[in-house]
Amino acid sequence: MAAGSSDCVFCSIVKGSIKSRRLYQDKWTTAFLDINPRNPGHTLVVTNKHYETIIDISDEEAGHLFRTVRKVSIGIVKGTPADGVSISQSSGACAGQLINHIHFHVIPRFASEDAVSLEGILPVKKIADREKNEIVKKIMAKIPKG
Amino acid sequence: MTDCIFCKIAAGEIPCKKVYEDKGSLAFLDINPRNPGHTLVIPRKHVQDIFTISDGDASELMKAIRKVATGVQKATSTKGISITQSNGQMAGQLVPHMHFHIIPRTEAEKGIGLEGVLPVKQQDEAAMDAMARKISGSIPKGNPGPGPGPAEKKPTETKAGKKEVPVAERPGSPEEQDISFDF
Repeated sequence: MAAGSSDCVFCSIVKGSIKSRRLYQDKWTTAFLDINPRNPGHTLVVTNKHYETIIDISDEEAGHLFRTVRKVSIGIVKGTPADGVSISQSSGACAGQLINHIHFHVIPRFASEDAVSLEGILPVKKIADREKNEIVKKIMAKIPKG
Repeated sequence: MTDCIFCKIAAGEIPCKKVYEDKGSLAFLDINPRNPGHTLVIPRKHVQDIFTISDGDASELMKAIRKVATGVQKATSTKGISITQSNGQMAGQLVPHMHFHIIPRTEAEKGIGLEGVLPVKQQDEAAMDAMARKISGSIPKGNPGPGPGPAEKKPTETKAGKKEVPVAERPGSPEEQDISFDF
């Protein structure tokens, strides 16, 4: 476990020292119900090891974490009346990350509710073509190789 | 799929502002950016959603997402990234080709999680317990495949000098077990 994880609520949930409604656990990941559900069945999927954000996790562990997100999503649509799921992951306080332990939200969605996407909370912004081209170059230069 | 806009982008028939590509994935700027640097990551192969993508492809796609998120964060000097993915029209999925949004966030947005678009709906304890049982009973079992290896242990040297990771230490190998539920 990384330093500072002893007071992390998700580390405690993974270890079982804080109770949760656990849905799934394997050697690397754990899934449990969110205590503040946006809809019934709203689930969080976390790594068992303490990582803060998606930038800190390894490629392999990111891949495995998402395998569990997929499993849980299938469990939600098969096991509950949900028609679909929204997936959300916040990295950093300004993105709304409250617990500094990487987690994915898997939120059941229903045909009876407004078909709003989660990113719909942010307005679309007009950006000039030139600025777009510059940002493409910057992003490409910063993507890790291999 | 011939009439899918993301398949056409992947095939190069529709132009895009590409930021990353590998064998299985492609990333390009969203034409309706929520912030500068808003990027979409898609599998090249037409897959509708998280329910239909294979376990292995899901894993590979997330590796690309992690790379792109790292690039977006560094390039935009943001302290926060939001990632969303919608499955089903009722979830707001407009293009029926699986895609992830990577959205750089700004301090001015006051730390709102994107799931905040949906209000919290509290449930009583019994309803939460029943829900947990239903979902856990419906989660697919097994699905061996690549995953994180144990960081602490190095692969062992064989006599032939080839490195070999012990099978029992790989995730997805037969000893992988779902741990019993703990409510």
